[in-house]
Amino acid sequence: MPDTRVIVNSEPADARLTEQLKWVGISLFTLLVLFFVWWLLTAGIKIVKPLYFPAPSSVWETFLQMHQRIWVHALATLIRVVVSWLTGSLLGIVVGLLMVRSRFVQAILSPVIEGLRPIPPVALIPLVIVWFGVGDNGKIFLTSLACFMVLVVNTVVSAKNVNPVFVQAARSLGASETKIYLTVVLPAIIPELLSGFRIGIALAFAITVAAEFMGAEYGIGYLIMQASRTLNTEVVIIGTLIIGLEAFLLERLLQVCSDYITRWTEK
Amino acid sequence: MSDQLRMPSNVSVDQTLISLENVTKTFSTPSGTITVLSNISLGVQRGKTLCIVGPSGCGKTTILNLISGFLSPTSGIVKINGRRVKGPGSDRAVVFQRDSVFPWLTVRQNLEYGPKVRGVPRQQWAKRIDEYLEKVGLKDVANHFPKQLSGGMRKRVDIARAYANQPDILLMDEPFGSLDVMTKELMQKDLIELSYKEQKSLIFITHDIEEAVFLGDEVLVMTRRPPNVRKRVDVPFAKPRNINLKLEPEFQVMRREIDAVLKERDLSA
Repeated sequence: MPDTRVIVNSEPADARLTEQLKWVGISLFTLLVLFFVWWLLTAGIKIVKPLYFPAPSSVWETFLQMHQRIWVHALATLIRVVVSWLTGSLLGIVVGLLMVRSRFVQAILSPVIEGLRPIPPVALIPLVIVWFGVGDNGKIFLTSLACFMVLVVNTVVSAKNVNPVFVQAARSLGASETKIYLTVVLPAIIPELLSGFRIGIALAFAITVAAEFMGAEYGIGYLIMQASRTLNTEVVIIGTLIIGLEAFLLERLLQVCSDYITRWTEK
Repeated sequence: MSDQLRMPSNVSVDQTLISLENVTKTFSTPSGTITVLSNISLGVQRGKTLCIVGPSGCGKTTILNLISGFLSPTSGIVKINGRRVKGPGSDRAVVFQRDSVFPWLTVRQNLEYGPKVRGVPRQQWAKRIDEYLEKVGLKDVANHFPKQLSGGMRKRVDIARAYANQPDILLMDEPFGSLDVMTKELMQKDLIELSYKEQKSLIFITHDIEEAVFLGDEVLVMTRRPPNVRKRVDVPFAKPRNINLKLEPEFQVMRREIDAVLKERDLSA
């Protein structure tokens, strides 16, 4: 058969792996340098007081002493973040699609969404504590709301930019309006939605931790706030590192998933 | 006469599948109303190919959009199989000039899209998809994504997807316009084989006179000034046609004839 050219990536797999390892190595080196600077300033030449920034060794000792108590806080924060990130974002996509699909839904919801959007979610924490108390519900509500806002706007904007030729093609193949939204608009905007999910991760941690500062029984935010009141800087640093690690792992997981989901895109 | 006698009484003798009756289409723009088509009438018979040639802006794409149902006429009637066109439908498949293959679906999934989205039970089309993949030479790349294919192959997917949905009518708007000459010729050869085997009505828009004469049973020549003054040319060459037809003197005569019609109008303006 003529013209059966298939474009394949001809680069051998092991060469690509070596290339990747090289870049990972460079990134690890940066971390090592940062760690060395930390050690140098706190333990080496000792120009930073332990109260402001303790030495790596004393952070490590504190961690060893209390690590059994830390996990429950780390897990509480992680669960709150993941649950609200997923529910808020998925709801945002559904509502966003409904808004693009129906002028009626858009007319009802856009004043509410446009009105709430400029308000920093953190500003709502006191109100949410009055409504929900200091348990999980209020934190999940607020964090979901923030992720919802990101994805709803993301969905509406990118759905309006879907190449009309795809919609016309689907229509002429017999797809109903609802089917067009599910089988053309939604898959077409998935790459943009995934970047909304990425923004959502950072936002979810920020808001959950902030809400935990203001009142909680568990959570890294609560741990940090307690430690800060007793000037226990070691624990503050441990908490911060745990948030960073959790956010990093969640983002890596999202990256792996999105690489698979968007394998059809031209990269 | 004897033919008509043998015909069962409940079958219409009229084989006209697509008809435009006194169709006028105007668009209103900030600078006034533009008449794109004025009082056009035409008919295409079942199983025939009509090619429309003309310069850009002569209204040929508008004709296609009226038949596909993406536009409705300002006045006049567009009918498919005797019924008035109310909107797009799966009896008419459109192949666009721009790449409209869904990039998020594999080649096979693209072909399956039409029957699947219309809710046709799988056993009714599962075998057909394989046949089309074979017919257009896409069997080896059935599980590839469109990004892995060349422009010509993507066009094949587009055309196969249209055929796999089993429409009565295929509407193609300069589908080979962006392809290189070699690929274009192969695609023409494949399309003429496919359309001959399938016996579907095909309207094919192009600005390439050679392509129009090669593919069409009839060629409609449209010009911009005066708008839509046109000529219908019957193409007598028997089908299936071989690509070598393009070198025959009769083919060249016909090509020159159409060329003359196009140039005459434009010079007199």
